[in-house]
Amino acid sequence: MNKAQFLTILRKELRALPQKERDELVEDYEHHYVFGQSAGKSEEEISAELGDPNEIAAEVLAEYEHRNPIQHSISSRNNRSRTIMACIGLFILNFMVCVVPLGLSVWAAWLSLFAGSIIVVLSPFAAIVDFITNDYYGGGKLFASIAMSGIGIMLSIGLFSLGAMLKKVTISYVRWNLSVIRGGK
Amino acid sequence: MDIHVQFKKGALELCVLVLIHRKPCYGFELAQQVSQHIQVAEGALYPLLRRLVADGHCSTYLQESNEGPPRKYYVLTPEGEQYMNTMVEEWDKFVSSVSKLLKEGTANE
Repeated sequence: MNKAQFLTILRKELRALPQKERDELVEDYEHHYVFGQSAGKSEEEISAELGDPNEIAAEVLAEYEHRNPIQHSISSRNNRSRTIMACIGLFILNFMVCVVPLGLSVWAAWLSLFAGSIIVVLSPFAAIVDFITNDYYGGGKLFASIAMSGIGIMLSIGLFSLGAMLKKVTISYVRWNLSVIRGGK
Repeated sequence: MDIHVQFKKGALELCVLVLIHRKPCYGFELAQQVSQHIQVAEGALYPLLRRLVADGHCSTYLQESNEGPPRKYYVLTPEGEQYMNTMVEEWDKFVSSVSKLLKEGTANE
C-alpha cells in the first residue's frame, strides 16, 4: 500500500468525524510519511509500520463515539432519516390512531360541560328575568333555580380541576411529540 | 484481534508517556523510539497522542524545520506527569501480581 492509498482509506473511513478533527489526524499521518521518507524509507515500508488504516479509523471512531455519547447518531444523514421516520410515526399516531380527534373531543366535552355549568349557575337570574318579563312569581321556580345554581357552582369547581389536569396532559403530550421529532430519548 | 495486540496497545500509552517525559518528541520520532522497544502498529500512536492532548496530559508546540513539514512536539503537562506516575505505579503492581501468580502456577505443577 502506498501513501495515497493509505490516506484515501483513512479519510474515507473517518468521514463521520468532524472535518477539523479528521483533517488534523490525516495531516499527522501525511507528515509521518514525509518524515519517514526523509529517513530513507519507502512508502510501502511506512504503510506496513503504520498498520491497517481501516483498523486505525475504526478505533478512532469508537473512541469518538465513546466521548460524544449525546450525538449518538454520528452521521447527519442517519439523523435526518430518523427524524422523518419519527414524523411519519407521530402523524399516524396523531391523526389515524385518533389521538388528536380523541383529545379534541375530550376537550370539547369539557368545554360544553363547563359552559353548561355556568348557565346553570346563572339560572336564578334567568328566573328573575322570567318573573319580570312574564310578570309571574313562583317561589318553587326560584328555589329550584337557586338549588341548581349551587349544583352548578360545585360542578364548575370540579371542572376547573379537571381542566387543569387535561391541560397538563395536553402540554406533556405536545412536549413529548416535540422531543421525539428533535430526537430526544 | 488477538490478545497480544491488546496487551501492546495498553502498554503503548505508558511507553509514550515515559518517552515524552524523558524529552519532548514529535510523532515520527516517538514512533521510531517505541518501535525500538515493542513491536506495535505505529498508526495507533497518533490517535493516542490526540487523546492525551484532549485529556490535558500533553501539550504541543510546532517547530519549523529546514526540510519537510513543521514538527509537532509533544510535552508532558504537570497533570500528565502525575498521570504517568500513577500509571507506572499501577503497572508495577499489576505486573508483579501477575508474575507472582504465574510463578505459583508453575510451581504447583
